[in-house]
Amino acid sequence: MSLDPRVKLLILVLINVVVFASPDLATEWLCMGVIAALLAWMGCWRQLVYGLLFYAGMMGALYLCGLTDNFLTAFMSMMIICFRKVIPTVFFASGLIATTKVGDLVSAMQSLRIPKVIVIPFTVTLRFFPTAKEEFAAIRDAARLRGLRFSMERTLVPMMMRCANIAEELSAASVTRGIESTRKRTSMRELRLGASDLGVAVVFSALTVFAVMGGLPLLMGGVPLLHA
Amino acid sequence: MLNIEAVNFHYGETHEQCLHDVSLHVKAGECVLLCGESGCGKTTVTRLVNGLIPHFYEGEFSGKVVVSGLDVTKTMPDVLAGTVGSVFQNPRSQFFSLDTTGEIAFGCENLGLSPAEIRERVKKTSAELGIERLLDRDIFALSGGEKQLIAIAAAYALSPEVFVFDEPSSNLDWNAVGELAHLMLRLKQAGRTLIVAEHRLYWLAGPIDRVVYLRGGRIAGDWQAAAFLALPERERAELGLRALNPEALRPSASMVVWEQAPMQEQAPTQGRTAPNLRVSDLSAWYKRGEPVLRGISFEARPGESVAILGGNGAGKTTLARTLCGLNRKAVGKITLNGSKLSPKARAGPFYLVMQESGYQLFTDSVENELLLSKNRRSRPTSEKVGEILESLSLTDFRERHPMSLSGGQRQRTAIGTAMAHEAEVLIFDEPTSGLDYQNMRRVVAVIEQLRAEGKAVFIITHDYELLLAACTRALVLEDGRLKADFPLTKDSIGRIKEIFSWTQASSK
Repeated sequence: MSLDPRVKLLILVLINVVVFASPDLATEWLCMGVIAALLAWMGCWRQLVYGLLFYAGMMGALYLCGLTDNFLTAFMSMMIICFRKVIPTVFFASGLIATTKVGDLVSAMQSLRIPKVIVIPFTVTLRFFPTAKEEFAAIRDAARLRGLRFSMERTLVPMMMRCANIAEELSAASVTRGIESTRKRTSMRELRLGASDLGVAVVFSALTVFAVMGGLPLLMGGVPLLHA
Repeated sequence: MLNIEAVNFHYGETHEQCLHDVSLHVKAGECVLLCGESGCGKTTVTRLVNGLIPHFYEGEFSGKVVVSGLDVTKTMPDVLAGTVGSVFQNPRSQFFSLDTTGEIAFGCENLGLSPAEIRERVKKTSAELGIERLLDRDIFALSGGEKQLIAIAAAYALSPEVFVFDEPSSNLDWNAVGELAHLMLRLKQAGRTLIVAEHRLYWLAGPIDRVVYLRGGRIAGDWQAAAFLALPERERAELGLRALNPEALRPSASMVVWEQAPMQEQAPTQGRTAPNLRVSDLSAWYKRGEPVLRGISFEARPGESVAILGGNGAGKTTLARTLCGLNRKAVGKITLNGSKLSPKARAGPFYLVMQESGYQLFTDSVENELLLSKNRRSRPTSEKVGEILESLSLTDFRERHPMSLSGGQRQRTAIGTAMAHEAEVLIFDEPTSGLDYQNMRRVVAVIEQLRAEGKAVFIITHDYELLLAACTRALVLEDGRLKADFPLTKDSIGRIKEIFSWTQASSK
């Protein structure tokens, strides 16, 4: 199943609210569960399995830290909790990236009236990841050919040079394709919100409201089920 | 259609004049080839036509350029985008989208066409150019040739009357060049005006009507195609141009090496007859799945220069990467001077000169580049560095930053690093792509020098002219297997021609 990219962006924002508003662990688990169900529905099985395993690993580490009580374990628990808070967002984002074309994402941003000065650099940045990866691999190969060990200076300097070159060529190419046009940019794909988009948006909005109002403890008469 | 009137130009950061009093009139539907040595100004002329000068590249400009009734200097680039379509040299740096369909639509989206209109144009473009098979693909997974076809389609979707091409074949193998030639003919038949700046000329013999020759920023020659094609080989070489008709390239033509053909027939020279490199039963993988190389065995002697030939996906690059130890997913035995070498031990004695040798330079001067080594013991003496620089005619650039050098100079610096560290086997990946005649001859000279020093040289190439001038033997790969291994002599040249098969490619 595919969702409208605008709905995906909305969910991404809502998940952040849910996670940071969650009063206890159980609500966070509920959130993870809903995301997992959504990923399964979108067919992102790989992201689903890796995400859940990673989350379980974090919980395990937290449990181990809780067994002893000293400064080091307390510090580590704190670090893990901070880190764990980001997992639900990354969990869903992995599914978002796997199921969304860049062009669609750009159209979504345009239809949300996000200005061109943000949308165009955003596209170029996305476009640059695979390029940077290729450039990096080539430079690593060149260093290996000469038996040189990895060093920041030897990698980053040629990388910057190459990327600056590519950026200039890319800009020249885009100018000849009318990127500076003052006319309103359009999109090949017209975005339409369907019933499933609406359904998913409602589920996540409800979850957000629920978490902000107090989460699962609300149902249990104010008793937190598990401390975060 | 196109009028360039008395244009003078130099780029902002330099004081060298780039174009002197250039005037050029091109009729609608004409296909004009701009040629000349590197730095002659042909790329600059293409930039006049698509408005990158003066809108993107700044400098001092005088004169007038009118395309299809639009004064280029007074027209905004986005208006020009619908009149002039541009295709550039490097297929890696002219894309905005990650998928092909989005790329073809990109220009139309910029110009604010309606979604229905854009879909219609994408469909029409792919049908008219015959590239439906490339729609909805990941651009990064395409071959260089396929990327160039998408670049043409992306320009075509805006239905421009004029197309400018800036060295479009530089990074392509001969099959891809065949497809490109085919597409150019289609554009021409559709009545479009084509302006092509190129080094490699043979593939354009079909579509061109007229040839404009530049030297030092001035127009120094203007022929009708027939008259140009009839130029004798000697005159063509004097102009510093690459071969026009490879079929007609006689080994004796301007090829110094071939005038001494018996030497190659009697190859190996100087009594060093024992092979020093032995590869036996080499299979290699790229990522998981099917092997890319299957059971390859061959030998090479010091002083030999072996061409590695084969189509896209035949395994040429994997072979080169495996030999140099970059690809370690391989089984088989590689011995050099009698000792079996692990992939890690091969980095050093084996060296790959990459197509973009800019990647291979890490320091701030040519001299330091040659001195840079993995440990103190292997650092070459400064006399030795001096000798190598002298032999590569790089002495004058000793202190220069590698990035300030020309492509050919950078390539020679990369070769110098291999010489300084006594590599015994050098593998060149497309060493002459995008090089003019002079620079190609220089590459040939360097290869001859390496051979004289007893190195074994391998050359992955799709450049027939280079092959004739520099190689003594050919390995032909097909589907990861070694299909043929034969010395290059006057008798075996027919087999090479078959492999290159221009005639098939251009009549497809």
